[in-house]
Amino acid sequence: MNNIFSKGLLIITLISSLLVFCIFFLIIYLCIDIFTINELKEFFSLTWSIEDKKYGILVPLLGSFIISFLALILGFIFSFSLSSIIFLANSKFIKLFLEKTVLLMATIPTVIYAFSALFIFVPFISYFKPSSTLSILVASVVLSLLLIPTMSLIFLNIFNTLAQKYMKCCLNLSLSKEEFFFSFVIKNSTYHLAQGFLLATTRALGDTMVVLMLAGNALFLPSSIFHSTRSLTSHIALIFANDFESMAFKAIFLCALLLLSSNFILILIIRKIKANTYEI
Amino acid sequence: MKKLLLTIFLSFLTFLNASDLKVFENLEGSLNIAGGTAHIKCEKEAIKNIMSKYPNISISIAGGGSGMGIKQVSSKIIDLANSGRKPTLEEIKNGNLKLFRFAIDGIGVIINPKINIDTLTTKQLQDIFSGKITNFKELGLADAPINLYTRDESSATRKVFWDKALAKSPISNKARVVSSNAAMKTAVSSDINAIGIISLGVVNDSVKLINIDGIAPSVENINNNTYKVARGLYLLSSGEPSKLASAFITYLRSSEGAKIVSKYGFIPVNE
Repeated sequence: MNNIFSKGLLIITLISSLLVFCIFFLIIYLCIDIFTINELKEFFSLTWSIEDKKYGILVPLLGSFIISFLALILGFIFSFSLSSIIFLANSKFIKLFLEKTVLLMATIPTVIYAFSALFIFVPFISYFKPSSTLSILVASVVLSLLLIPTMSLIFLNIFNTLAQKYMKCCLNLSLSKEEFFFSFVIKNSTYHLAQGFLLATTRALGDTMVVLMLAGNALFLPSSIFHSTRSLTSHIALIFANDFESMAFKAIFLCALLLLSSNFILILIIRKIKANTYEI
Repeated sequence: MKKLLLTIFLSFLTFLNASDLKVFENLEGSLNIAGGTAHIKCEKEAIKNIMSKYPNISISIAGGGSGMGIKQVSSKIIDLANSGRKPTLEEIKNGNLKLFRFAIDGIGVIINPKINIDTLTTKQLQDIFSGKITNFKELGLADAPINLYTRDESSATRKVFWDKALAKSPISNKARVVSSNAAMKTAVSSDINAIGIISLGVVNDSVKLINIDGIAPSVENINNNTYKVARGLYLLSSGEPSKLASAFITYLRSSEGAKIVSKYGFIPVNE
């Protein structure tokens, strides 16, 4: 029975891997024309204007990284704090309440976060800064809400696993729960925390709905977090309806290739970290 | 007596309604429509009428923009495309497209209702959309930044506005881009400094339409050709439409269809 199950899993894994490679090669095939050196240089410029036949994708590329980076920093701070509070809390009620809240946050669809922010957060921001209704700041804050459940649950799992194995031993050595947490848990979970962070990065880079609805999608290089910008995913969503044969259409496959490659590299880094990390 | 007259009138209306829906008799199956977002509201009402009388017919409608609709119907992914512009000759040739215009729609400039302005000149619009005018004080209002909103480059609303209202003058890359007419309405109504463009069929009280060169974007002005920022609303099929698709087109162009079209601020046409 176990053998059949293992073989079934192996077949499913092989099919999934094959599909990913097929997508990868299809994307390369669809943008192959722009891989001549001169053409490629044109695509890595700051100006995107279909009317002027300019297809620079640097703005959405940078937009993706700026929004994701800010969301990750905010998400990491909140997730780390939240999982630490859940771990250290003495009250069972608080523990349970916070854990269930995180689980509930994970089940809310992306579009609900974006819609709620559009009607609550955007008017709030515009009251204080009227020029920055749809901006990097708004998109990053809401995107960080999406990342918090993923990161918090990973962090909490690490803390709990370490506690299960070593807490009794440490408490016997007269360490308090707080001392155990700060001097043992944190120190021994750096690689695992990094894994959680990188996993959240792939989610932040791949999100479409929040950035499409809240980042403003303007195509200029932002110099402040109060400016609008466009991410690679929203760029693909907005430009996709253009002519199949045009360079604009081919350029969005270059965006897809960059997205897929960056996520692929991140997964490789996570694998590498995992290989170098001892089992908790 | 009054009651009797009213009953006769209502029966007459029902009779008319029934006769317009008669084109769907003996038909069944499904019809998929997608594309321009301006069409959706009025087509939804037509679909509701059809499906409540003929439960064996299933009609689905989705957005995506005119460009996407044209592409999908050309690839035969959908049965009918909604388009807010005439397809190019190349698109017609590649997709073997047949065009059915059923309404005329205006494109209007909208602002947040809290902004105290009723009219803009073409020159002011060109300067606002190109990014030369960035503050309301340059228009004689209080000091506040202008938050400019536009549609994506595959949008027919944007193309028609760019062609006819801006005379192809540039649109600033600082303009925020939204992906549908409904999203534009939401964005402008929730931003007190917003200026955007929209299909007149989608407008409600949450946003304020402004006049261009003193001319109101009304059905009358579009009809008598004084308000020029208008376009046809088309249904497109690849090759000859199926029986069901053909019945849907006929219904939208019937007198009952024309009433629905008018109800949403469009001008019905039958050609």
